[in-house]
Amino acid sequence: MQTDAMDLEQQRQRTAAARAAHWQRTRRLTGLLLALWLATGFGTVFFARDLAHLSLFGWPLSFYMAAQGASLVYLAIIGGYAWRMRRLDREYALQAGEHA
Amino acid sequence: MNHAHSYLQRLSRYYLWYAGCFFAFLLALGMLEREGMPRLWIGYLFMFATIALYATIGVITRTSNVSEYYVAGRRVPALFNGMATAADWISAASFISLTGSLYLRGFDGLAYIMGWTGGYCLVALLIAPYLRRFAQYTIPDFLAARYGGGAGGRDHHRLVHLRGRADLRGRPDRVALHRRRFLGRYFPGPGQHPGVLLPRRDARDHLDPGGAVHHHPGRLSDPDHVAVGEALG
Repeated sequence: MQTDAMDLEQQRQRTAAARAAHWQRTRRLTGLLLALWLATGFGTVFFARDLAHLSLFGWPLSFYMAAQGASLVYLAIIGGYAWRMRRLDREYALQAGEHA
Repeated sequence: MNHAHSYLQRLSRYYLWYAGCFFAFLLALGMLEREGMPRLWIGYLFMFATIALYATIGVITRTSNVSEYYVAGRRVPALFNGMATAADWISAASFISLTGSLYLRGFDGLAYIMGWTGGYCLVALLIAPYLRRFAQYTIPDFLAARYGGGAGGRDHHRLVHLRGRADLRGRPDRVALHRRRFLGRYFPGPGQHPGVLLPRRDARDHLDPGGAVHHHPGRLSDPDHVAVGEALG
């Protein structure tokens, strides 16, 4: 009985630790991608004059970003997020010892 | 497991059939255009064929079960849900109104293009993790789980209303440009640019991601917004 209770307690702690680690990683990823999102959408337009000397595929950087680049970056953000979260969720399921 | 597997296969088969038929239809229209069929007729054919297809799918998949109706019994695999979201992204209404806004506003119209996709990032980053945490399937489900049953429906209603408003802002004038070209006639509306065809309620229902039913008796009588694209796709 004693060992059963200890096992249960250990299991609970392990789950809690895994959950905390998972959530921290999720938040870090979210913060990183949000910063990228802000730089892409707001940064390139707000600082368009400062970035005017840069060009991409023959277009001014800001114009290219607004017309096409931003959408591609956004798509990459969503894709990268989905891919990474899938892995994080799997790791969590393994660590927490849950069948998910 | 086996059951789920066969379900996925069946779903993939339907989608492949649909995609195949759609491409065949496009090919047929292209050939008809080559043979000299008038453009106006091609336009009508495309529109009515789309509506007929939509109606057919509706009849085939009809159900009287509420959860089947809104979220297909929560059985749609992630990949197919993603495809539906992608289709929503570039639905005819979005496409028409985005190109229209570029035509009208030039560079400034690109703000819509950026915001359109950028919004999906926010949904993924800021809402999806909480949906997963609460193990919910739709935003109204999440709100109900998070804030209690009654509030969920009401807030969701408000959310959808907001989103619908944001989505439709500035759309009518842009859509009208295209509609004039496409159908060759005006549908003048009260106090609006002539881009008006259906009551606002229809458009908002169409936009509603969760498919909740709206009751705005007062609103039904003021047909001021819509997108002909909603009827197209």
